[in-house]
Amino acid sequence: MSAPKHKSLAYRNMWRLLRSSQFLVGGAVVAVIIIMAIFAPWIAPYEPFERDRDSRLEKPSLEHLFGTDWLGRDLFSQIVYGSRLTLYIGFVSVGIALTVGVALGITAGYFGGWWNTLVTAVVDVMLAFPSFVLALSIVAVLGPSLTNAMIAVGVRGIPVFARLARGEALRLRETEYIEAAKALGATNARVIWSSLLPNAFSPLLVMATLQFPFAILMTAGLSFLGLGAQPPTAEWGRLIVGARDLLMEAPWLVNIPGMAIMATVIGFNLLGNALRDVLDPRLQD
Amino acid sequence: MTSYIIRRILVAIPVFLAVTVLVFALRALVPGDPVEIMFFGESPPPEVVEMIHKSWGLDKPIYEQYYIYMSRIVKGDFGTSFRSRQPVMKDIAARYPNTLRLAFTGLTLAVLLGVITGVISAVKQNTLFDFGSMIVALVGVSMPAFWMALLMMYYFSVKWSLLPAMGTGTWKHLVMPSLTLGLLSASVTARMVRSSMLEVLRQDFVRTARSKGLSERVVVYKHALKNALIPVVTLIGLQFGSLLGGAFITETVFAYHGLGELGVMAINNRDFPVVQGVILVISSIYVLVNLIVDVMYGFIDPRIRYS
Repeated sequence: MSAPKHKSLAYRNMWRLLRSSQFLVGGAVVAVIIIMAIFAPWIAPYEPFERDRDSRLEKPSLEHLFGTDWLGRDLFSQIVYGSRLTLYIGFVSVGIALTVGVALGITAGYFGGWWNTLVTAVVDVMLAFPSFVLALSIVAVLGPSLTNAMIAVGVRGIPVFARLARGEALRLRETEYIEAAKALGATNARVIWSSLLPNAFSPLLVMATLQFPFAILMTAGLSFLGLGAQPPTAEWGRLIVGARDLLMEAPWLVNIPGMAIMATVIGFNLLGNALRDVLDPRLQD
Repeated sequence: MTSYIIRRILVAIPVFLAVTVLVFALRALVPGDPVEIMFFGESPPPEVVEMIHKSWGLDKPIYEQYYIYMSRIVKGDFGTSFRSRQPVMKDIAARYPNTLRLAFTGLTLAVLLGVITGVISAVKQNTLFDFGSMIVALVGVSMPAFWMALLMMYYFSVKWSLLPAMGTGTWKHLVMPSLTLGLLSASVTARMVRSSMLEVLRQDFVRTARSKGLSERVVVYKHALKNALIPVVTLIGLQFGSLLGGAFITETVFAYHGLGELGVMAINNRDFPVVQGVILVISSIYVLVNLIVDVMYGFIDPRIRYS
């Protein structure tokens, strides 16, 4: 019934996105990182952990675009391979936060009652911890590793999505089309899956995009404290820790991974801002 | 107003209790026997294990253990460090003033810089200043704190020898850590103040003020700014949380003797009494600050009190 209208809305939104400079710049940065991650073996000129005694701590040059580290490993190749980890970290931790948070939030808002009270209380308690402290506590329990850091950062994000999804469910629950779906005999699961979720999609997508850079920064922070990725990995935060004592002799070993993290985070932030402006102006900060 | 304050305090109490439950659960959730962790994974003779279990109350049911834990916390007894065998409270008491000092300096910097930049950006929307400061703010929120800290160390300590690279003690030791924390928060604050200010400037009462013939200065600083800062007050509470969280990284980089550095060392050493103590103190400070912010909010915006 409303199919053509939807199409034109999607079309209009697409146009607005394509005219947004934030979307174009952010999209370009993110595209570069995705291409780097997919084609890493073809882009990286060396094996990321291949040692070369004769070319230790070399400055960036044509031969080694980003220079080499104390074991003669090519930094450019490590950065290229590291992009895979960065994306992986973002997807896994935001994925955990999104799935668990939305499942809790949507059901809490839709069913209400004691379940809503319980979910709201859990969310409030989780938000009573400073975000990074919550992630740290979880890593403290699970032990330091990249997987655990991603889980910690993911769990830390659950209340953010639960709150948003709950609000959406509360708002949508009262709408006529949800009532219509129920009157037509749709089961609760069906109402949630085919009516609530699709309509809550935009704000959730925007939040997921904005949480992505946050997750990358936080995981890099945990790695820096020795609580995330363990050596040898090409995780960008870890590359910085490894080289921090060489800041004087080989500043590029710290600054290039630093810039890589920053560029990725800027890219996703811009993309998220653009999506928010177009899809969900209410979320504006 | 009094009833509003009482209501807010009544809400904060269960939150605080829930925080203590979670912090207590940290140790219970850790896989492995705490005694083994204490002895670096080697099991002491069973009699010794049993004795330690008894003295810690580990042989009792979990709710009783929580009760014992809480009654000790109330008395200021946070247990004994697995590693230094010193009371945890001693370390925490020695370090928390440093962390508070750091967080407050960072917060002051963030608020001053953030509000000023945000207001000017909004008033001069779409000018070079607005554009430039928002790009700087974007870089600020996107920069890993530890990288910023290392860069500062490189320039201020190593290259220009202006500030000590590490340690605690004088105001000079406070400059770089609080700059690291403050600049990141200032970026968030500036963006928020700008959009809040832009929204207020579009409202009817601002148009009325202008049409009364008031000078632009009075309109912006007397009428608009006051209203634009209301949502910023809530942000300050949240920012304080990220400052406390950020302290873990910043203090570690600058070897600044605060709770953050202590916490990170304790996590790496699996020294759970210390981990619990640090997390409990930091989260309590955060709950308290948010309570104060909420009460302030009630003072500033009377609409809140009645909702």
